Amino acid sequence: MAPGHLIRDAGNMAALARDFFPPDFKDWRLYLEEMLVTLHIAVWGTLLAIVCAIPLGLLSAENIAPWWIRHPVRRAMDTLRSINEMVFAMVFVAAVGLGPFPGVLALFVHTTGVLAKLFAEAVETIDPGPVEGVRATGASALQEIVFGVIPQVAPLWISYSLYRFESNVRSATVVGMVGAGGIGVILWESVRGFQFPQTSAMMIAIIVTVSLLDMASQAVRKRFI
Amino acid sequence: MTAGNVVSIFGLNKSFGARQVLFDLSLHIGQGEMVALIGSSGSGKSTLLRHLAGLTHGDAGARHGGMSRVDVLGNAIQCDGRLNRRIRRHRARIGYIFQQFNLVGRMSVIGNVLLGSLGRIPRWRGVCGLFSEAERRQALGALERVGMAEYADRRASTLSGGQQQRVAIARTLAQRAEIILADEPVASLDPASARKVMDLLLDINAQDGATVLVTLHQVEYARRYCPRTVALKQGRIHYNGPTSILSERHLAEIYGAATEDAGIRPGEASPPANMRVPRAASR
Repeated sequence: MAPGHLIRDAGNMAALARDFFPPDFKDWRLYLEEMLVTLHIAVWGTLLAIVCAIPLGLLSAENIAPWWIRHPVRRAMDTLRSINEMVFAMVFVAAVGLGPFPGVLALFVHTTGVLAKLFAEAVETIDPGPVEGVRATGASALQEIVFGVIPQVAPLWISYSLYRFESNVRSATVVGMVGAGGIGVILWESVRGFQFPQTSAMMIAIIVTVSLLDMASQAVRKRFI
Repeated sequence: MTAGNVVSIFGLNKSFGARQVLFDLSLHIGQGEMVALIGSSGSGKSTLLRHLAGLTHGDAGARHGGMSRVDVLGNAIQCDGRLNRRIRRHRARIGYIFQQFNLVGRMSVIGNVLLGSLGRIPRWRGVCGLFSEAERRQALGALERVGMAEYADRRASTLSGGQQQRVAIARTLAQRAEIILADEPVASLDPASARKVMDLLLDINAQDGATVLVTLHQVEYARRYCPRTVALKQGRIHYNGPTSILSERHLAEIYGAATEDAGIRPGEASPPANMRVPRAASR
């Protein structure tokens, strides 16, 4: 650690920061296009993850699944969660080639691990009363879950999913750096090419997009909860 | 042990870990009876009721040297500590009312009542929540009967306790239950709501011929509504007979030993002076 360097090299940093201004929006069409690709990556990665995390989350909940199902599923989810999406992205780029598809796969796999755990935790906090109420009517095990469990966890599940979508938009910009599509690819290229005005324009595009999505998901959350 | 029995329990034992709560219990209830199950807290009355709907199962026979068996409506619910394989189908004919109502709070009132038909309709249709027009009409009819039709579209969680319990009764009506097991249905209700709920149970018993078995904390409700009373004391049947000859001495015995943990003095088990009790029952 050498905090002194921050002061000694402050001049260099100021010079570098000055290079980022003014932002160069000449290629804004390209940025917009790539930003949309990034959003697609985030949307598909999150959607697929939600679809898989619902059964996997239920199967790793203590009050739903017996231990011999719960433990293997939980360990599998731990594995998916413990590996960063960047690592998955590199693996999938090697497997299926450059482009947005490996990015979707990377986010999908990692987010499944995260959401399954969060979903399971929500399921473990439910009130068992309504589930028993549904059971007493002669319902099947699946019907108990559909009518007794899901209505109780729906607000939390929606909230977790929206939060993961927001963080996946941020992650989607990063997975591009290893070639997995989206604005990350051109961002990385411009940084390495010392084209700082363009870089700063792209960063502004990312900030605006993330802020807009934040507001949108806030509105969605209010409607469902 | 006549053919008319809808509930038959033989040699039922139940333990939670090392603590045994039901001891070699046998009981028979005939078609169309309205029976009160009384006893102090911890006497095992709720546990006994849960066995009848297969919500829990008794100890295996080997532990106590005998085969236990619970039959309801001619179906074996459990045998020697094992639930019947088809228990979910059998439960459809058994209505169950809970002390805490156990409605799905985030669903509408009518949605909760429709759940009563889950046991009768094809499984896939139930899972998708595709209820037919006839089932909806029937559910609305059930709500009308309990006086809750105007609340059909409200969220269940916005109702008061007494209203929720009436919706729960409508759910058993939609279920077309042939026997109703009510576990402390009025314990968390104010007196006016409690009376409405007990009146409904009595009405279902009298009009539809459904057998009703209701656990009660307060003896006065047993006196007013149930011709027959079964009293449990520490996991054993202490009294089983007409409510009308249930004497102060019986009550003192039933509640006496457990007065400290139940918080009831023997005298309090008798109806309060200001409560209207039929003459024949109060003697």
